[in-house]
Amino acid sequence: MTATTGDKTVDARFRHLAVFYETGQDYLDQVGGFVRRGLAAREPVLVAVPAARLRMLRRALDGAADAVTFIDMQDLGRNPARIIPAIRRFTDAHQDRTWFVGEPIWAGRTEAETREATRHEALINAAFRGVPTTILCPYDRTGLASQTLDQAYETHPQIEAEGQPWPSQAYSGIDLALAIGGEPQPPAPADAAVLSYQRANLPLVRRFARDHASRAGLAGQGLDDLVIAVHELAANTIAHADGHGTLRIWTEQGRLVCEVTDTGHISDPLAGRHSSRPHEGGGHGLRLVHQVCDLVEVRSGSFGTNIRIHRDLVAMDQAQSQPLAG
Amino acid sequence: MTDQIAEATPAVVVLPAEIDVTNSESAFGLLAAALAPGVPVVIADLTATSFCDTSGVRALVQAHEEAAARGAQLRLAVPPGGSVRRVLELTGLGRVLNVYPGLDEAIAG
Repeated sequence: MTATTGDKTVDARFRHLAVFYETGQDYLDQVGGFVRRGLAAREPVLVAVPAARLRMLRRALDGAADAVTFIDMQDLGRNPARIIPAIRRFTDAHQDRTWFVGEPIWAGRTEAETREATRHEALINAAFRGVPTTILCPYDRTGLASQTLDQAYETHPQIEAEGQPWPSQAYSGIDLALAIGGEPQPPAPADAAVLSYQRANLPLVRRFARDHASRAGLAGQGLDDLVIAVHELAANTIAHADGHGTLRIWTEQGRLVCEVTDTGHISDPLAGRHSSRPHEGGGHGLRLVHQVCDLVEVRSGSFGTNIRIHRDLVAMDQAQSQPLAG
Repeated sequence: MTDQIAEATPAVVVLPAEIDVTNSESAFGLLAAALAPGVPVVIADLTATSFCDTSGVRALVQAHEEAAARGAQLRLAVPPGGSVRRVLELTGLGRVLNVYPGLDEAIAG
C-alpha cells in the first residue's frame, strides 16, 4: 500500500493496462475480448464504464454477461476519487485474481474532472501494488484530447494492443498524481463568500455552509451532505493544521464550489481512498467527502493545503446529457 | 448518577445537540461513565442531536466496543432521515452499531 514514487517496475501480480479504441466494434473486440478472457479463466470480472458503452458490452457478451458485475462509471466515477475504494471492495471480496475494466475518462468531461481522473489512474499504481488483479482502462482515441491520451502512457505500466501487453516506455508510477496534487490552484473568484475559522467556530462553519448552499439551491439530503463535507474538511484543519483555516464558497457553471485552505500538509497521496477503516483519524472524513461530492480537488504543498469540493446544482441526468459516440 | 439506577435498567445518556471534534471525547466520556458494573444496557439518546461528524461516530464505535468488552450493550436512538443517520450510513458504521429509531424502541430493545 505504500506509495513509492521511485518504484516503476512492473509488478507480476498487479497489472494495469491502457487500451486505445476508435470505433464501437473496436471497443467490443478489445474490451469485450478482455472480459471474455477473464470469464474463460473463471475469475471475477467487474466492468465500470460509461452507461452507453456498458449497455453495448452487455449486449455483445450476451449470456456471458450474467457472470460480470457492471457499474455505471458516470455514476461511480462522477468523482474519480470514489473508484479505488470500489475496486478495492471487489478485490477484497475475492480470493482469486480479479479482472477490472475501468473507463474514468470520457469525451465531454471537464478539464478539472479529466485532471482528477488522470490522477486517479496514476494512484491505481500505488493502491493495488501486490494485489492479484488485472485492470484495463479504455481510452477513446477519437474523442479525447491528445494530452489526455499521452498521459495514459505515463499512468499505465503496460499498453494492450491486439490482446497483448506491451511495456509503456513513458510509465512514471504515481508521479503525475503527485504533480497534479502539488500544483497550486488559481485564486478563488474575488466575489466568493469568505469565512475565517478556528477550533471554536466549527458550528459557524456549518451554518455558513448551510446558508450559502441553500441560497445556491441545494436542499434536503444534498444540503445535509454538503454541510457534512465542508465540516469534515474544516475539522481536518483543526486536527492537522495549526487550527486556523479559510472557507470560500461560490458558484460557477451550475456548480457550487467550496474551498477550504489551511497551513496543513497532506502527505499520503491516497488519503481518502483507503478501504473503510472506522478507527482511522482524518482519512475517514476525507473518504466521506469523496462519497458525497461530484468532484474533489486536493492540493497540498509549500502553499499549505487547498481542497475544493464541487456539487452540481442541476440534476445529474441533465448535466450528463452529452451522448457517447458508439 | 449510575449507582442510583436500579439493576437491569438501561442507563440513558442524552448526547449534545451537535457532536464534533470539539466535544466527541466528552461524549465518549459520558457513555463510558454510564457503563457501570451491573448496567446491562446503555442508550445513547441522539434524538435531539442534529449533527454528528465522523469523530462523533468514532466515539460511538469506541463506546460500543467498550460496552461489549464489559459484557454490556450500547444502543443508539437516532430518528430516521436526519443528518446523523446519513453520517452513520455514509461511514458504513450504522451496520456495526445498534441503531433504533427512537428512545422507546431503544429501551424496548
